[in-house]
Amino acid sequence: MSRSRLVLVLMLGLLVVVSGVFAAPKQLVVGCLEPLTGSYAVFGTEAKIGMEIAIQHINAAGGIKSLGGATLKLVAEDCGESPDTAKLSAESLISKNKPVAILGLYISRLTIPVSEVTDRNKVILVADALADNLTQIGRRYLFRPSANAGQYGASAVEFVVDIAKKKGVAVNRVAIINEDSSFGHSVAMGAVNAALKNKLTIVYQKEYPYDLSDATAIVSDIVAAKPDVVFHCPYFMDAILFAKTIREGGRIPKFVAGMGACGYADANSIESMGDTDNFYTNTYGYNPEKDNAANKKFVADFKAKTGHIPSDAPGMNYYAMWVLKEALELSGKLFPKDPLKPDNLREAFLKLEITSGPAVDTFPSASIRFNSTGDNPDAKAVVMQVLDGQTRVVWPFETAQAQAVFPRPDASKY
Amino acid sequence: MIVNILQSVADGALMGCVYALIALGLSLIFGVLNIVNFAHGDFVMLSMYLTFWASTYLSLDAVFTPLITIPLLFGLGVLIYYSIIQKTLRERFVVQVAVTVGLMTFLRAFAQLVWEARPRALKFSIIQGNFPLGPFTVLLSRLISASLSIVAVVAVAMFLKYSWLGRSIRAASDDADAASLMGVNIRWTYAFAFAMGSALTALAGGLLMTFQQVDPTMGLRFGLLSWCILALSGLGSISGLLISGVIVGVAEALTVAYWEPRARSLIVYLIFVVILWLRPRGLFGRK
Amino acid sequence: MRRNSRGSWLLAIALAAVAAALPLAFLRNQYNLILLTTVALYGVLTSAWNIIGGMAGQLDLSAGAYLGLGAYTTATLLLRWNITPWVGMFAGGVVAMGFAFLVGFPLFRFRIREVWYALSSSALVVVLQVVFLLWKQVGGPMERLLPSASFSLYNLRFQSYLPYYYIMLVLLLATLFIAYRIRTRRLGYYLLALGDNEDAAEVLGVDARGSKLKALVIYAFLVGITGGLYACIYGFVHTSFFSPTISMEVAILGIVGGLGIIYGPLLATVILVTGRELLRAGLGGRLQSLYLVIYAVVLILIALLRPRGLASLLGAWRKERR
Repeated sequence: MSRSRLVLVLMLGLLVVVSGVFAAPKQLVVGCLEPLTGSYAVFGTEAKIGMEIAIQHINAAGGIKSLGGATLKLVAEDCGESPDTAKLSAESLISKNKPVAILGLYISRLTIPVSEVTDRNKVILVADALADNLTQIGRRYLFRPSANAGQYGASAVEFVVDIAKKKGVAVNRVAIINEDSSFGHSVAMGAVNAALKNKLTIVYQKEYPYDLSDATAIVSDIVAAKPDVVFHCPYFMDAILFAKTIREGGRIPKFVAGMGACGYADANSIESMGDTDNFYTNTYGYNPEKDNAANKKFVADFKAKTGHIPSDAPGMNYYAMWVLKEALELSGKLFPKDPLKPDNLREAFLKLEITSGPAVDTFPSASIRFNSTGDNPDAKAVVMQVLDGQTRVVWPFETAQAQAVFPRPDASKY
Repeated sequence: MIVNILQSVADGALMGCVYALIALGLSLIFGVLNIVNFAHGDFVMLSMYLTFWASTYLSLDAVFTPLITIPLLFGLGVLIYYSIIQKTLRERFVVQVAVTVGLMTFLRAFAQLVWEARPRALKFSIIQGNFPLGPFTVLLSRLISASLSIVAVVAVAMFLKYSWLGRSIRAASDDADAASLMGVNIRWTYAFAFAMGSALTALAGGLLMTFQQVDPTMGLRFGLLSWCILALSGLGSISGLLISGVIVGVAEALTVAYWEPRARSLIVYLIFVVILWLRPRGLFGRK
Repeated sequence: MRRNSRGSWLLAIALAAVAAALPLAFLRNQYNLILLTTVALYGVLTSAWNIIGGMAGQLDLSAGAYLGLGAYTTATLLLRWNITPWVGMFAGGVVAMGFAFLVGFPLFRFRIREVWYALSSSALVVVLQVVFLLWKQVGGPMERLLPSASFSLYNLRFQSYLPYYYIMLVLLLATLFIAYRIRTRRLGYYLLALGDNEDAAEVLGVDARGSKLKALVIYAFLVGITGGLYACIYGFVHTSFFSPTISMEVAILGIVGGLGIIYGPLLATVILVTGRELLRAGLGGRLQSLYLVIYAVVLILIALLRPRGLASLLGAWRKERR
């Protein structure tokens, strides 16, 4: 090696060392833990795509400005569908990549063990599992921007009560059915409470396993109970099953309102059901039709990648990533010396008050902040209805893009 | 009330005929080859996905897709027989189970790799609809699926009874060595029986897709269900298989309607265990 | 023969010492610790399975049932009556044991064997899952959380996996020892004879029903204890613990490890559980289910090429079994 080259190498080495000491970290790792295999993979894979697009957008917009334009990098692992793989994936991700935060998990029974891990390691966990109990177990580093499961159920009831009043349709008797996971149970409990509050009579209530292969028995029971409206928290395929069975049976209630963001009013269901899916609604924690540039950009990019519009899981994680970005910005401003220290970042999350920017532009309501349990008190769910093969936001009325069709035009007298 | 119960019974019975068709495939494989196949339900899952493909890309209605999927599954059956199953014929049954559970895991992961986890369903099939029959509502898709299943089951029974190939299958099932002495090509017959068992799931898959949807993890349920039906009927009786399928279907439907949907599998398994205890050869078993 | 046996003892003790020292090599890395703990946990399940599945030749698919019973017993005792899991896990073992007796007695009484035994044990898992789903006072659809604590000896809840690892290791050694004792006593010879040919063994005067029942009950007890620990490690109980998937996995690991060979299932667990986890961590985030495809192909290949199990690779087949 010639002498000049040696000098050059030494100089370069020095430069690397110096820049390492003085420059702010250029790249921050964000962890993605989603069920990418097993029965929940459908949500996990899409959620991951939502995060990837969010990171592209954040980096393209200049990264975290208060941290010297640091960019984000997503590292994903499959958390499987059992607590052992979930815990392994969390420990593996944290020990290998030292992420500033982790997003995901989607299922509450995976979020519970993993949030113990993230709490011990003081890593922020932005959860997309919605079961109510998750924020009531005293996890310090867990935040959930979206509405919880109970709110999803309550929104469906409030929507029906509002629209019935508006259209002058009498709604008294309701049926509430749900798939029997802890999520479905929480959603249904939210609906039950809201129904009682609105003085509706619950004439039929049932929990069933999501892989039900034949809905005829439940559907004929529902029809026999003569409800005006059926509230249904499906998983996914059971929604298709119920819709097809209801149509085939020919005795159709005034309205079937989905709740819980799975099934009915999403692209997959429309693709799978065709016109059978018309007039079904569901409640969502993400609104793909919110009319602003940021949201349109996300929807367009997601569509380019997958061929359909984003559903709840990717949408929720898209704005979750932006919320994380805002928190990092705030932490950079509040704690310029040590913005990435977990407790500082947590403090920044608690002080967040987001009312503008892509996080809120893609969020169903107008502001994002966190209370001490990690829930967002301003979170709301929106109701979307399938109209002519398209999903349209129909509630809350202020942000609605279309008039809801209520009651169903094909409703029959019992 | 009576009307509702009868309606449930009828719905369950129709579904049970399709179950019987699935169990018939398993019965052939277990009865003839004496192979314990835990992956049978996942063949049903695979058939349903193939139906989805055939229907989406060739714009065929789900009822007609078996025309394509039956040869496909038959070919796959032959392939799997020669590459995997044949090597386990002389092994202890635990090894067979290990191999077929591996096959099950493989098919499940493969389906997810190819079709992603997204559950798939088809739009309205031409056989969907309903007609009133007195106070009852008959769902056309279930009625046609059940009828086609019965036709298929009877056809297989006739085939086994009267055709030369069918007779050699039965001979191989009764006593492989004797049959081999009589000039039956055992290896070929086994391959045919396994492929036929797999091909039957193609028909079942096509019928199920007219009113149901498919996801990569649903195979296990169909697999266990067909084993239960097989236990109930015993080996060697094809009409017994139909009756057992109907019993299971009706039990499921009544449980879902009148007790608790979540207890559906509970009832089926309780029937299964009780039958095993009291009638280990099944209700209609021959051997 | 004697020298040989002393040699195996020394080897076993050396391996146990290595296992005990392993965490010291990477004390600070919780990922390695939880991986070790998971392997040890599955090692207990498969080694216990070996007693009923490997020696007695009964293809048992009910590990998930006893795991769930142990977990729910432990959690219920702790949450309702504040009884420590140290007691709870043994209570869980006893409950699993009692249940195994109730199930096993008629099964063996009615001579249910082979695939039918496998299926009825598999049915048991699903049945219990449904029962606990419907039993609101103890189970129900929601997860039941154990108290969270950074270090609570009474609640058996630790933030680090180190204590769990050592508890699992002790249980693993105990399980292997029990399996070894059974294997070298009369019960073991009976079980092996039954596993080879049940009818022939009965002609020779082996008490088939009693021997199998003993094997099943011991297996259930060990799995039940593991269930209690499982609940403590993951911090909650849920009906998904009654998992047909775990049950099948335990049996498969037992089979590909080598039936009836004491260390066979453990060997398979160490190789395959670690291997799958490495595949998951390496490929799972990008190629998703590809790692499961690879895992399944490996399973099929082992079963086809090594029907005597992985342990036969070590040339131990002749020495151990006949």
